[in-house]
Amino acid sequence: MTDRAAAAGAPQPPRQFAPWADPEAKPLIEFESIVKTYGDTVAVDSLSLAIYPREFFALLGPSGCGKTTLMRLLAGFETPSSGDVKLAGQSLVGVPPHERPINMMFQSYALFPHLSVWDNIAFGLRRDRLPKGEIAARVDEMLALVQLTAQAKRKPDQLSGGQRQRVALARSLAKRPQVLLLDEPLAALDKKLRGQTQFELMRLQETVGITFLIVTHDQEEAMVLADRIAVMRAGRIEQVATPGDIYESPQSRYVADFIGDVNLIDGEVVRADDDGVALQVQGADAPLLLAPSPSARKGTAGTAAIRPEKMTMVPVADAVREAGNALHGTIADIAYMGDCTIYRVRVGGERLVEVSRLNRRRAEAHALTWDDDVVLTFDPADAIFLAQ
Amino acid sequence: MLSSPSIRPMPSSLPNKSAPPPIPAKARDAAFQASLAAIAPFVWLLCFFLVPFLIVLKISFSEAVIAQPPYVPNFSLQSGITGLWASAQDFTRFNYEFLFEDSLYINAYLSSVSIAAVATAITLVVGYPIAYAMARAPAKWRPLLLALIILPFWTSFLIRIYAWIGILKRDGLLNELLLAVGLIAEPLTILNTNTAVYLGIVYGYLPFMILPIYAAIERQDRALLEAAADLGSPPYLAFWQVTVRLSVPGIVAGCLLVFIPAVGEFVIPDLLGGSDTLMIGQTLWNEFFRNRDWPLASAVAVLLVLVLVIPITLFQRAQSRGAA
Repeated sequence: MTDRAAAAGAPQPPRQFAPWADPEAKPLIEFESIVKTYGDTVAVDSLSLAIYPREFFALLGPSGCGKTTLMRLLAGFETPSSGDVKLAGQSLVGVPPHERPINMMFQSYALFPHLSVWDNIAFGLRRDRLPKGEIAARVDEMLALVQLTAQAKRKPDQLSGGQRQRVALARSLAKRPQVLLLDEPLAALDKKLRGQTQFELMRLQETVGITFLIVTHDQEEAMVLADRIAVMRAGRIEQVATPGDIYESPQSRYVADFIGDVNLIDGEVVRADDDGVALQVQGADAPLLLAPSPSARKGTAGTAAIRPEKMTMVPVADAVREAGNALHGTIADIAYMGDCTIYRVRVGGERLVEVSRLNRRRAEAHALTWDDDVVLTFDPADAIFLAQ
Repeated sequence: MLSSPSIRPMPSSLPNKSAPPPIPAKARDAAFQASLAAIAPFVWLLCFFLVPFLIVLKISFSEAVIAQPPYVPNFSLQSGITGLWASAQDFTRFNYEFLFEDSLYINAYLSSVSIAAVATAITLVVGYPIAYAMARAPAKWRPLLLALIILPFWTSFLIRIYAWIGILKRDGLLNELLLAVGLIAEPLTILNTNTAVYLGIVYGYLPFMILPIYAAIERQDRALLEAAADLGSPPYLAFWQVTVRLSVPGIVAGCLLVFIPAVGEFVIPDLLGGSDTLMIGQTLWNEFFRNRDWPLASAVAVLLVLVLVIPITLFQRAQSRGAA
């Protein structure tokens, strides 16, 4: 997803799209120690963030984490209590929304109900006082882009949810803004259509080459769409990273728990060096071995984070005795999901550990069933240490 | 999770395709109830609008006499179809012809329509900002504001118009206030002029203008205004393009609710208007009660319905067709 340069020149080795790693790259959008308060509530708490040109950036977090406020600050619907918002090096503070080269796709779509699809898309272009011919050409181009040419004369209430979503997208893209803001753009669509539209959005972003900033509470949406994700919590950013890094190397318990399923096992660090971290946890005979971490200090409390798909489960009888991570337990719950099966294993009395297994073959023999005694193993490299 | 090969048991009783299944009695009852609910408003209109209107229509084709009741019908249902046809031959169009012969009636119609139109325009100008402010007020204040708008209806309309006499007369509250402040040296003559009539209509009908406009603005999605701003419209333009444009149905409804009763208004011109104020409601009243010419008065009423209701109905139909 990130190697979009590969699409342009096929024979060349794929070059990673990672302007954030390039010290020479100039950010397009900069939030500088932004604070936004409403009365006593702090919506955004001294937050700084840089977003680069052509990036597809996602603000991810639960409702009330400040992600929408941050987007509205950029659109100009809110003014920061302190701090600065910059676009291409220029401060946006004091610039009214209608003068910002930024367009927004609203969560409710906010299509003008009295205007046809065509006139909705032409709305912003008319404000720019473009010649009539150019407006018509631009609108037709946008209609073709979102495949709504046949519906141009319809009113919004004569369209399906998916079509309305595309009109909203076309309208916000028509002015060729420097930044497109997407506020929960797919929340109103059903699951199947959402999946399709996600890929359309990615294709579109690569076609138009505009910087996209999406606000979502749906981690899957953020993972699929974004080049980078900022995970937000209570007005602050917990971590900014690529989807892969967010998932595989979360920096906090919150991020690990928010993105995907994870087993979090608390314990005490008994050894921390370049070979790894050893964490003594309740109910295990030997300490758990985890990947090395600079934040681990001997004698402090910490958490082991292991994704369910990175654990192996075998019946006690088949278990190979060897040094390494092994958790003994009994199967408490089985959830058949179709593509995989999720087992919840009771380890050491109270703790439930989740393990998932891919169902690679049809009607695979499920030898394991409720109350079976099993051993769970995992590679230390797949287990992350998180300081508390 | 494997299902057995697709051998499904045949349903024991296949529905016979040739004969449609009978409609269950319950469904029929529901359909009957639904049609009853649809008919009810028409029955209401028939009993309380159409029948009285037909009675007035019949009187308008009668001859005035000094008797009780003061008219002689030119035809009656007792005479049967042939009798009706016979009387239709020498229909008395006299009442209607008279309306066009005496310029009083034409002038009264024109003057009523013009007074009502001007008053409606003023009501709109006064009412729109009030409706807008109410719709944009914090949600917790809105029920109170609505109650305040409706509050005057708890007092008799007649008494409230009478109260305006006390305000507008030569030594009334308004003149005393203006004199005390020093804005005027001589008391103004407002009472018994058309100005007083405009004031009365604007005052009396303002709630009917505010309420539909308020409803239209209140249900607007606020994100639409932001969308207009986002696409490059400065605030005044966004207000015009979105707020005003989308409240047009409310404006039309409010104007009709003010204009229609204002044309036929009797109390306000009678109490506040002067000798030169000419409105069709007064003319109607005079014909009924001063001249006891019921047939002519009925003809005035029927013509009022024709000149008022028919264009408005056509206008509304055109509007709803345009919206679809």
